[in-house]
Amino acid sequence: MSVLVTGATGFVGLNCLHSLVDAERDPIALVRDGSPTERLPDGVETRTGDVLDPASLPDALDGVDAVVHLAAAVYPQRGMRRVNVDGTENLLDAAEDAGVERFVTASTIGAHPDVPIDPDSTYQTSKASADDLLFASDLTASAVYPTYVLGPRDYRLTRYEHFKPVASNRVLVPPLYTYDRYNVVHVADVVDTLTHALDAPDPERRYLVTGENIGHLAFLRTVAAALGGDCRVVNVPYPLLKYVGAPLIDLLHRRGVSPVGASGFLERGDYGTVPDELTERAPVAQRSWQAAVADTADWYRRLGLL
Amino acid sequence: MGTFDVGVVGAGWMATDYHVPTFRDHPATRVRAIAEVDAERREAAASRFGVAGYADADAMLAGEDLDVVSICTPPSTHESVFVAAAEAGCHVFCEKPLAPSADAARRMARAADDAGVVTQVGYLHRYYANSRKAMRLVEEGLFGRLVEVRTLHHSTAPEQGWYYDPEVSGGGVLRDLLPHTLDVYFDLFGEARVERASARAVRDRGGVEDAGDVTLAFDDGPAADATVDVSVSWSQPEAFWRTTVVGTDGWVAFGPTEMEGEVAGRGFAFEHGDLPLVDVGLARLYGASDDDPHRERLWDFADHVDAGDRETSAPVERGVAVAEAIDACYERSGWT
Repeated sequence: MSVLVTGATGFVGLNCLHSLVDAERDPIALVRDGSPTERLPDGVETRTGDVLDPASLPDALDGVDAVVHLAAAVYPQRGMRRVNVDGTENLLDAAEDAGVERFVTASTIGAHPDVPIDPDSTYQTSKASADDLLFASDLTASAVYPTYVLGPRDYRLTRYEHFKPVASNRVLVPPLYTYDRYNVVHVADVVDTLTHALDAPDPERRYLVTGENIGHLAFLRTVAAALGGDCRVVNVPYPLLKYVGAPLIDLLHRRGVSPVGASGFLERGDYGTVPDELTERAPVAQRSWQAAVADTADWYRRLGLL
Repeated sequence: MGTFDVGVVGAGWMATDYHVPTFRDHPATRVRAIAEVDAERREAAASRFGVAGYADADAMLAGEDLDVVSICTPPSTHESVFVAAAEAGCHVFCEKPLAPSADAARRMARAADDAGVVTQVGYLHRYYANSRKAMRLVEEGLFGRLVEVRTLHHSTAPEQGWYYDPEVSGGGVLRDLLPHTLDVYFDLFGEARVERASARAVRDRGGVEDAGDVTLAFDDGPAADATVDVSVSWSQPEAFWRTTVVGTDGWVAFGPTEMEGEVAGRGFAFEHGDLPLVDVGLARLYGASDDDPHRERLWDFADHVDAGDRETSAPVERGVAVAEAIDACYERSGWT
């Protein structure tokens, strides 16, 4: 089975290519003209094309049996919806014309019908629209819905924000972090699920890849442990932060000492949590979220950033 | 780990502040002798470190059974000492600039090759913790396709008279300061051509230039599409250098102390290669640093000697490439 991977130079794409190469499946990477290919696994075949340029796709899909579609605009940018929706539509049309047997894509947890969507997130709504197109096509298609993905090969440092404050402080207390909740999964589990969807004789349309819902304390303490335990994460109960910490920060803000008020610290950030009945789901054996944190720490350490 | 006997040639500050104590402190090396023309300096250094003193390198090579020779004399003297040491089977660490001309550097490289000895030229900048970190990020391709690479290196005017005698020094500030940066660039980006160079005297230095700059072109590699520029001068009361690398995915700027950068808009910051001890957004507090590039470069060389590994960070061949580029700078700038 000849597999074409879009979004090949991205975080999930690189991990997916490495996994397919390790399994000797000779994947083909679709790259945009001028994209850096140094990070791709050695010897991987590349084809030049762009999901926003339909004319470039027939050649890219020549002889291809399956597509893993990971090309997407993940972070707010102009034309996000166009990349995620129109780009997917172009690729689906070309895949149908090319007689592709299997089409697998990575969506996002908020686009899953059983998970509340954030209507203000263009990313989530655009991915939901793209999934609708996917399931309306004639292809045998699956979408994978991971929560907050951690792991190696994060060349764009998208998760560094969680590691830097822990590595840069010996003691971590509010207001150095906000009161967040997380649902973390390992990028290798996402990749394994994509491969599972490629190979399953009778694939499902939607695959969840979720872990357990965890609080900021457990998450940050696991980050601290992965970084060697030099940082002590001190728990400050939310009510104390709200009724004592916040007024204090507001006071400092009014006096010109703190550049921001307390409202930013009281926001309860959410990184991929799901309703309780949807936790710890995946069609493959899962790595622990602690392993995902540890492998991400190893990655940043390898880059020399920790 | 073996024990290698070191002889240091020259007893100026570079020898007494760095080479002698640093080889003394490395577990695989010990300093046996110093060679120095000036009798007063020779005796002072020999008695301070408890080592033998010789009037010149030949006498030292004849009188001692050395494994390593470390050269801290003015550039015009490097070739004869280097070749004699290599012919005596000694591994050689040689201060930059390796030689006053590429011709001399090539003769030194041949001598080292014939003798099969371990060599390293004393480039310093890559051994700052920030440089090592930044070089790794560039090597990992974190900044995407490079757009611009620029180093400003402005130092103090040297006190020793020989710097202003081109017969001894091989030139002015270009010969003196460019090597530190060219070594880093050649390591990261491969072979370069000198596209443009300028040299001038901001102050009268008796015939040598004290300011200049060079634009390099790389035919392939990560900097093939980038503007790559180095400017140097002897103009400051305190030495200053700063390198900035800008790519399609981000940038990094660093000097000996601070380093900061961004990848895809996500920032990082270091001092002496370390993260802060405290970072509360408003203020960062860094711990004490023992970052010592002089020790790092000499110990790295000693480790390679101990391992019999000729692939040092900057073997004599690097010195040839650097000397060729600097020769080209003088040619392109029209400075005579």
